[in-house]
Amino acid sequence: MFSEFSKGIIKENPLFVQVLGVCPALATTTSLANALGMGAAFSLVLIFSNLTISVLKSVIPDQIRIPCYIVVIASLVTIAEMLMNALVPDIYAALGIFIPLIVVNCIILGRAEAFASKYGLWASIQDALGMGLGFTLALSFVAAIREILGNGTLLGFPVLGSSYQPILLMLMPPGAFITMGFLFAGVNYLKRRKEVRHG
Amino acid sequence: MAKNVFRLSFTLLAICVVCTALVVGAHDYTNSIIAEREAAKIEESYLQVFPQAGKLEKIAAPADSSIKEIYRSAKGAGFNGYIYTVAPKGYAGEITIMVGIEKPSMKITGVKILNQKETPGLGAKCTEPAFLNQFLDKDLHKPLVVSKDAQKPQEIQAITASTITSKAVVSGINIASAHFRENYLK
Repeated sequence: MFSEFSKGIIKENPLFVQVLGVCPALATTTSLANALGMGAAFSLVLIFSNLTISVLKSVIPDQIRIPCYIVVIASLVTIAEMLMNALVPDIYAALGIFIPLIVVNCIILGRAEAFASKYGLWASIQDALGMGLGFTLALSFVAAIREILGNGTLLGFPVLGSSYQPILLMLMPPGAFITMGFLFAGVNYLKRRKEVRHG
Repeated sequence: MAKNVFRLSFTLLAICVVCTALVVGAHDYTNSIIAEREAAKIEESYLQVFPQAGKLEKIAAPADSSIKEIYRSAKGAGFNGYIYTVAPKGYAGEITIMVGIEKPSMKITGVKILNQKETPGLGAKCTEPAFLNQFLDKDLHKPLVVSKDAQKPQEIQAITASTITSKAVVSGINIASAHFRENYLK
């Protein structure tokens, strides 16, 4: 029943396996709090976008599906941003800067195209939850490494002691590329080892 | 074929119209709520940088300067202070700073960074109390200076590895204090 949910977490992880959404992952992983915020905002939008596309899939003609998806997703994000700003200002203050970034997040369009336009409502919601969680976990992983090495803290609490000299580079764009490069290499290594073992 | 083109265009048009209508609806609904809260937030900032504020009144700011807004505070018979909003150029775009100056003592009552895009972990530290609290009670009869090892009363300790940001914040406050000295110190 939850098979569509679990695949997004490891087997088809959007960031590490599909290598989608790298741009926001580079930009928002300067601290764990930022990564969690981006992940939450992203998951919320993905659920609504998958839901809408899944409902509209019989109405939208195949030839013009991409522009239709883009219009639907961009409108959804804009409406979500305005409603959050007006109704839940505290959450908006924390997540606000990430919301416009979600419009251009290719995972949303990718899931609309690859999944929601072919499957039913319940499966699409499961898919969105799984992909959302998978992306959030991936972001948190990158962000935790960068925050610990770059600032000596995790979620703002000091973890490495006051004698630790933070590597500021880790908080800047090169740090994001270096961290993700090592993580991608690790994922590829694990994947290959598994392939060898299973013949 | 021609029929198909018509059908496709019409479907896309219909989706766009529905989406636009929804966005317009959401905008109309949220606009006034957001504007109200923004105004309340700015109001709150005035009290943070100038706690002893009386009745605030906006006065003309000089054109072609980094001074964006000036408010004066009326209390008793005269004015007991001014609140400047300045936006000097930082390392990455403008840094919007609000600073309260008391009259006649000419001391800083508070500094708040309203908006900045400085490097995270470096220049962005200018929003932290460790940097901003240095400005409290500084006497503005003379300009402030940035220093790597602040000792004298006019000196402000720079943020490590963020000299440009530190200088920008201090220069913004100096622009405000220079304007204050010229116009209101009588």
